[in-house]
Amino acid sequence: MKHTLRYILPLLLLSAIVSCKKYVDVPPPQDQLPAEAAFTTDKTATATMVGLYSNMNGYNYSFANVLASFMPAMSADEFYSAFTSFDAFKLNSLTPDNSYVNTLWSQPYSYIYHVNAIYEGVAASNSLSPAVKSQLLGEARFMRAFFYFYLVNYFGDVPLILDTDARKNSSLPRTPAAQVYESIINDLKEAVDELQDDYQNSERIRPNKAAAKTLLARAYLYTGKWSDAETLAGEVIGDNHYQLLTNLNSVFLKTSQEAIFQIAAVNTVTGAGGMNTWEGFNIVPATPTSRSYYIIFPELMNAFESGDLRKANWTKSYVVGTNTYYCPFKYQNRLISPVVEYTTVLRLAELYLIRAEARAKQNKLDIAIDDLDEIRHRAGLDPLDDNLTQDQVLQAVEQERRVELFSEWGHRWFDLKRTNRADAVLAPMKEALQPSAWQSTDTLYPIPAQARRTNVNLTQNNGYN
Amino acid sequence: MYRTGIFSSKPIVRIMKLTIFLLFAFLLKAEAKGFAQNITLSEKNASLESVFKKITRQTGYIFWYENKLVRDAKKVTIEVRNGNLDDVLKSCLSNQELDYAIVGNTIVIKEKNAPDPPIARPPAVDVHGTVTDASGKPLVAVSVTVKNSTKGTNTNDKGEYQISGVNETDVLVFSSIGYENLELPVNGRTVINAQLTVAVNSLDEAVVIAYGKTSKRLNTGTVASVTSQAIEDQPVADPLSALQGRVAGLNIVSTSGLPGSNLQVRLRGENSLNNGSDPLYIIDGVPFISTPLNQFNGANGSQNPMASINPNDIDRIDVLKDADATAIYGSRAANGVILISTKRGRTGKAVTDFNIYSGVSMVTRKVNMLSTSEYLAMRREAFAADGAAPTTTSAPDLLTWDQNANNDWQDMLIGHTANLTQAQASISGGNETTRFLFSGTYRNESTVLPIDLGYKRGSAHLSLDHSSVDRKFNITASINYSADKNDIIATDITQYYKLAPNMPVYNDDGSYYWFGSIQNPMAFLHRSYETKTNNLIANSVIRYTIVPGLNIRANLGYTNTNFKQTLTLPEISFNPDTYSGSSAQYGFSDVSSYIVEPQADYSVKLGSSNLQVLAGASWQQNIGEGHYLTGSGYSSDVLLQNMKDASELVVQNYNYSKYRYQSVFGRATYNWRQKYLLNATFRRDGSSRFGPDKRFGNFGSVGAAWIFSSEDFISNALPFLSFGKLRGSYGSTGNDQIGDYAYLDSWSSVNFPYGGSSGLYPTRLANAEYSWETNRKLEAALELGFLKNAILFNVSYYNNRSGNQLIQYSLSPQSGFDSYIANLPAKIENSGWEFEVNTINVKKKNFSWTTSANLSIVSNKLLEYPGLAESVDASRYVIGKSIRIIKGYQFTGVNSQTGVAEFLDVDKDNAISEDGDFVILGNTLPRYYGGLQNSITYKGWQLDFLFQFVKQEGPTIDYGAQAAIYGTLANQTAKLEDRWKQPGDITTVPRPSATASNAAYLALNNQYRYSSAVWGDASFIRLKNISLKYDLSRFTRSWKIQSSSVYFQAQNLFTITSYDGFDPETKGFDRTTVSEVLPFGTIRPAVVPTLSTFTLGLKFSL
Repeated sequence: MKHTLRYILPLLLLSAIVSCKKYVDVPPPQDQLPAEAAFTTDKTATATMVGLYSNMNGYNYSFANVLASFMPAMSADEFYSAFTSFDAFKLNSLTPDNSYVNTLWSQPYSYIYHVNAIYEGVAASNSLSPAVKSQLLGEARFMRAFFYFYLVNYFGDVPLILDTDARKNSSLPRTPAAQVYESIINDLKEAVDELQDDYQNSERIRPNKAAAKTLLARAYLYTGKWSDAETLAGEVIGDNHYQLLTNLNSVFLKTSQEAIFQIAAVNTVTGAGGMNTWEGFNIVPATPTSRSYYIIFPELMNAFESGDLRKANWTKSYVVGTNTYYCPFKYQNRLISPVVEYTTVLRLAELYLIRAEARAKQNKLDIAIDDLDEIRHRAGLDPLDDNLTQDQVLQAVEQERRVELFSEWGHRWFDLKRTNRADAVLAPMKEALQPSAWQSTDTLYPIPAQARRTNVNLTQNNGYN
Repeated sequence: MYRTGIFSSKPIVRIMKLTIFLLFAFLLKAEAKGFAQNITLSEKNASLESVFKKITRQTGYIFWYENKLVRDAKKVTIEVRNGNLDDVLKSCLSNQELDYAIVGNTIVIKEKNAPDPPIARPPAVDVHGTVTDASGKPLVAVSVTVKNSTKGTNTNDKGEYQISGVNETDVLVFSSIGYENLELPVNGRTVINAQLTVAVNSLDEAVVIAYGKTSKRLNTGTVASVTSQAIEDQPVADPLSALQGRVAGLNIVSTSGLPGSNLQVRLRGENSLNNGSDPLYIIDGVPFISTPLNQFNGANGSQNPMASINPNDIDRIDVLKDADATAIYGSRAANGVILISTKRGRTGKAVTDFNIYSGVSMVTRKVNMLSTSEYLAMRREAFAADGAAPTTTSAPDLLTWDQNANNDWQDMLIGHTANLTQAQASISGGNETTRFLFSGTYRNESTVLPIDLGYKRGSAHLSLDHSSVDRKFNITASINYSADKNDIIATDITQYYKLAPNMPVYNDDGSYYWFGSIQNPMAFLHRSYETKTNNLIANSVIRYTIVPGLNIRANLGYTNTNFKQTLTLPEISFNPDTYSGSSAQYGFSDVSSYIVEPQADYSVKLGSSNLQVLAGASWQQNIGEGHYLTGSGYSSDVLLQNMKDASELVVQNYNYSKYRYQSVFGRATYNWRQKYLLNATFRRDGSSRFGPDKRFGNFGSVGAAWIFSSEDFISNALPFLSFGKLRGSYGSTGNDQIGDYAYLDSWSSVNFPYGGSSGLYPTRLANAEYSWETNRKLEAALELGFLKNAILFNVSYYNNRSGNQLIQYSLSPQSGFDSYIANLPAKIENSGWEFEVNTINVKKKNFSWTTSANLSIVSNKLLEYPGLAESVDASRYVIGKSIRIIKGYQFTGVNSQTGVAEFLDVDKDNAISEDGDFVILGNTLPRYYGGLQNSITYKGWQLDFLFQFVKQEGPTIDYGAQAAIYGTLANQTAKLEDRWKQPGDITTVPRPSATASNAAYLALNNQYRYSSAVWGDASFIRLKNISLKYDLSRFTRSWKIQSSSVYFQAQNLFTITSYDGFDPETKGFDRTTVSEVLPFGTIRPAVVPTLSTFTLGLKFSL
């Protein structure tokens, strides 16, 4: 009896222990791809990239669809919302715990992790085809520059994070804005080399070389490198893939020849009928007779010269009670299947305006005015007077940018800031809405409270302490 | 002690040292008792007989003599301390005509100088026999001992035993778990057959423990049991509901009165900051996956998988609480273990049982709302006080709607009577070697909603037992299968109880009336939600007895649960102004698991002690898979159930997980003379939920008990004490309820394809380094029985500390992620006292009355949280307080001049804000709870009733973001009649306000809803269950009906509470998104309250 026990028990225990380790080694789940497998083939590596765009546009009120365009528009003098939850933007009374500000900070950073992971994975991979590898490296760099461009313009100095060591990165302090711009320009230069001229498919929903050039031209403009800005803008304007469309109602279509980079509609079931853009979903009234919840400031409506086709085509009036209001109408579809419009990130018109400004800064006034006239012509307006002074040309650039690029990606808000015009333009206007609404420090958004709670090294912007 | 000792840094080593020490202590003691000759006597003129008795008691030696010799002996006076046996005997017999001889264990007393009489050699009789139960079935492993000696044996697999060297005058003691102890004098017989009767004494009733059985008397751990009778007394749909109020330390809270809704089950508190605190459920040895399988939620929140277990198929439920009882389940036992055993067949002629009941249910409590005229008066007052004029858009109730209409929304929405019917038939029988039970049950219950919906379940249970004729081989198998269909609606409409009482439901043309963004609740009834569950649990235990005492066995189990959901949103359920298309959602989940557990157990008698050893291993695998689609663009709303008709179908989710689990475990139980008990368990677990280097962990426990009532000095001193046991245990268990693959660095599919291609995103910030949450449990308990155990009293104290908490370690969002999973050395303490009393008040032939009561006093405390102040949890937790505290503003009253609510400015910055002014409102965990059960039988009548009580606090009906501001377009409870109306009024109810910019409105909106004003007492006493049966057998026997009875049963008859809201148990809160962090879910007031149920039933056997 004792013998039996002596042999059976140890054997039983031994057999269990021996097979232990292997047994609990489960294979990776069918719904996830292990990181080491993600960059082994062109197909999966590409999937990591398009996953970013899909996530950027999957849900309403994300950075890349609504927030990046709406919030700065409200901070500036473009439009506001009937929802009181956006009042802090309209009245420039943001606080560090504002949830939209938090999204404008944390979402781009989560996308930056995503592109850093792609960059590292692709760079380390030996099994990708050279063309795909180069395209993905360029795309990752382009997108990283893109996110930093917005971060630096919302918040000023921001932590510059270029790798995936999240635990280390979590406590990095803010990097001076100039250094962030250096990184942006560096990434974009590389991206111009790495990206291909052609798009990856028939649509313009992944960045190509022209997209990198456009953003680089913009970065040069923002950093005062006028001649570089002029050159690069010229290269894209000269590219016959792109042309200003005479029909303003076609500019934001997914087939638009003016578009340089668009983000495709992805969440096409929400709302049941098929979504085009979240911008349209939010702004466009539900029925032809109902209201929009977004209202263009009278200042912007008044800024349109008479006969400007952009006012007629890109704004829409609606009536509430006895009052008439206008909402942006660049995206004209709320629901409707099939999808016809895409969120347009970069388009040719901006390059004319970049080049016009860069030329004006270099005192090349004639050709600067020519660029502006291209845009004005398309809008049904007369050419500018050829004898304008440099200041007048620059003012014309500001005006033209205002009415051409309104409600898109915060252009107006950034323009007022970078030209140091925010105080002059916004103080009187915002204080008419609410006494002492405007402070000079409002040009930077607050560093979100959550970010500061979790990283003691983050300093707050002036005016928010 | 535990502060400096065993709780310190290397507990395992310490436990082992402690074990070894205790083991030695016992062994040494045993030896001293057996052979020591240390005798202490202090006698004056005592009879020799009484002195001999004392010597026997102290030494274990027994005397053998002719009665006459000793009776005639002189009285003895002796004073000795630690004397040796020889000296003592000599001294006792010094002036007597007697001498002595020691033969083995026996001291033979003889006349001086007389030769050893022939009878001085005790006749070494060999006694043998068979032990059977009442039905004559042989009983295996019955302990047979010679009273007052170390001799003993166990019966073999035929129930036979043999003991040699038994004296004529000896008494044999037969004991077995679950049977009454039996003592039979030898009286010179050599064949003694014994028939044991099933224990009626609850101390000797069998208790199911991990991988085995014991009795209450011999258990070193804390186990509470609920048997089928208590379960059958309750017309509930799931077994967990049947436990409410019956088990100390077990707090079960229902989340909704709709069928299939989930229960929150907490055994001795909340042990985890972020992860699951659910106990481990084991049904017939097979772990049951209790996590809801929902892909999305319906009106009942997530569906409780336990709802598919038919309570009437359950034989007993044993709740394992302390380390001693649970540690053998290792890493999954941190939150306790609930063992469910299903019914098995009985030996004898096949018997068919029928049990049918039918009844009605209605909600337990409603809230008292303002009448239309009171409501309208409040609204007018609100506008007037705001200085605003009502308009048709801001006040249709005042200007447009019928001023006299008076909808009782609660009555319309949840005021209906639900019907309930359950029918069960079972057949059971068998012979010596084979027994079977087969039963089928059908249940049909409707809801309190205004339309005909409800829950249907069919279940079947099959159980087989077979033994070989020599009883060496035994196999049991059971299969439980159930299929249910739950037809309810997509959204709980109880939340519309506060619609304006004069809001119209229909337009004149019969179509639904819509106003602004207000939902028409009747339209919601068109949003269907249907779930179907199929659940299979199959298990088998195969045992082989190699030699008596040594068994090998294998426990094999398989489970499969399949859960389908369909939710439809047809056009008619939408406000036409915002309707953007009909849609439907389809969810499919499937989870299956297998388990293989080979075990060996060995039981041996070592002199007067008993050693049982168990060793085993466990392999388990779970595979879960699910997906969820949304469809839109249907040709007709009639076809919403048909996903093929959808012109657009999107896969919203696909999930897959494989969970593998492996362990080795062992247990040793040492029982010395049924007086000293020592139990040690060990388990080594490996789980696939952790990173490759962190998969294995060790867990274990030691428990010890001292049945001091078996000590003579106690039984002599306290004759009224029939049972007394002191026991304690300490050990460690773990928790791995963190989901699968959380360690894996991977990419997941995005929700939507991009440009026709699918995409991937980084799933998480992987951390392969995290490991188990561990829970160290300490227990001390005292069990007492008085008056022949007519009164049994237990008190236990426990102190459980869970550490190594797995939390989402927060990162600054700039890193790309908010957090990653890691172990934090935070420590949570759950401690408490549990009291249980069972009394037999009256026990006569025609009348008996028993009472049992339990009380649990609980405390939960966050002991440590390193870096709390800098963490994301800084505002959520406070060291030294419960981990389930709720913070809010301190309401200081209503300004008697303005009627505006005022709050404590804690940080004195002249503004009330969350940052500086939050105080702790309270704690969502109860302070104490329990139950009081009485059973009375009188002739053919039997009455059982149970009161459940809970002392707790919680959010009242006006708490939270969804509470309507007093004065806005929403009705309020009747307490608004006490509101502030004019300057000078002293009241605690602020003035109503209808204008968003008004100071009164802002105070209500921003602070009042989150303040102590709307936080209150949620304690209750509830007549949980009543069951009245009448035995009709004597009337029906002549119709060949063996037995029959009729009964009335009711659940939740009435509730005594001062709670301001619906039901203090559900607290009227929608818990559809309840998580550990969000104890009130989305804080959307009002779910269907718990139901009161009344049934009549009939039971008979053929």
